[in-house]
Amino acid sequence: MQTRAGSNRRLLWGAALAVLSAMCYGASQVIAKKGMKDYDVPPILFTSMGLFFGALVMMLISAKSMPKHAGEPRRYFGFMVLAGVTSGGAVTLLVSALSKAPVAVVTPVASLNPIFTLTMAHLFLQRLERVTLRVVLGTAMALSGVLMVILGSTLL
Amino acid sequence: MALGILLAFLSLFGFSSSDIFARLGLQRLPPALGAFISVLTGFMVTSALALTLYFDDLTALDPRAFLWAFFYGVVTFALARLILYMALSIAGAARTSPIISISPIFATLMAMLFLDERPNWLMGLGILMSVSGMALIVSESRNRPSEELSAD
Repeated sequence: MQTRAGSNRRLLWGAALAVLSAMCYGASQVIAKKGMKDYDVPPILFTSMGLFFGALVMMLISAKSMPKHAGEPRRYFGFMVLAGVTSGGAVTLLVSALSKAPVAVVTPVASLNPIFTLTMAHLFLQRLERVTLRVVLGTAMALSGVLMVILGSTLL
Repeated sequence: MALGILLAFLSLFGFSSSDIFARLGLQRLPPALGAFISVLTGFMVTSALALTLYFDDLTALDPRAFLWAFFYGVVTFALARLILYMALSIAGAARTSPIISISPIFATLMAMLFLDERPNWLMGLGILMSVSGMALIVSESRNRPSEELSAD
């Protein structure tokens, strides 16, 4: 079992990685905006092209670890396939939503993702993690801020 | 419009499910392999629709669009997702997802830097609020009892 200090360091490292990932996602929105606008590429086509190149790069990065983990139980591979299918389906639904309703309506709805994730984590991941009041409050504050930024950029 | 809102809500369910499935799969698989599997299957799903609707657009695209899509793919589906999966496997979905959700804040900051956009007072307040919320989530990590980690 890990010590309390060790687990704190590990969780802070995890949070720092999440911030780094959020920065990458932020940068990717700027890249997507410029790429799609300058060359008039439909969003779903641009996303699909990006996924193709992303898959190629990830294949190179993960090639070494493939033989080592080939013997893992199939259900774990199945979970990752489901993760890809649901995120791919979600992107498709989101793009379809944007074609049926204004961006100012769809984007705030789409930003509510963590509420769903916290609920599902509470329901399905009880063995792995715990949803605390502080996490719920922090999520509410972060989401309020994101909604303000979205509304500020679309309505004012 | 109602259909658009319904589709947006359904997409939320998809993104959240994806985080939960990834958290489960990453118990035994390394983040890089997990990211490869999920990005590849994500490509299969989206490309079916993209090629059905826009095959002619694809063949007529300016080659520079492919370069932008390459940068987008590397940053979003290789780098960001790999780091996201590393974070998910360490800190869990409940802590990672809210932090990832503030990516529009980083997008706004980068748009200020590179696209010369200027935020208004509401956006400034939103940035402050999001950063405070993120700080609250991160500070929770410091108070988390160590025995919870033994669950994995």
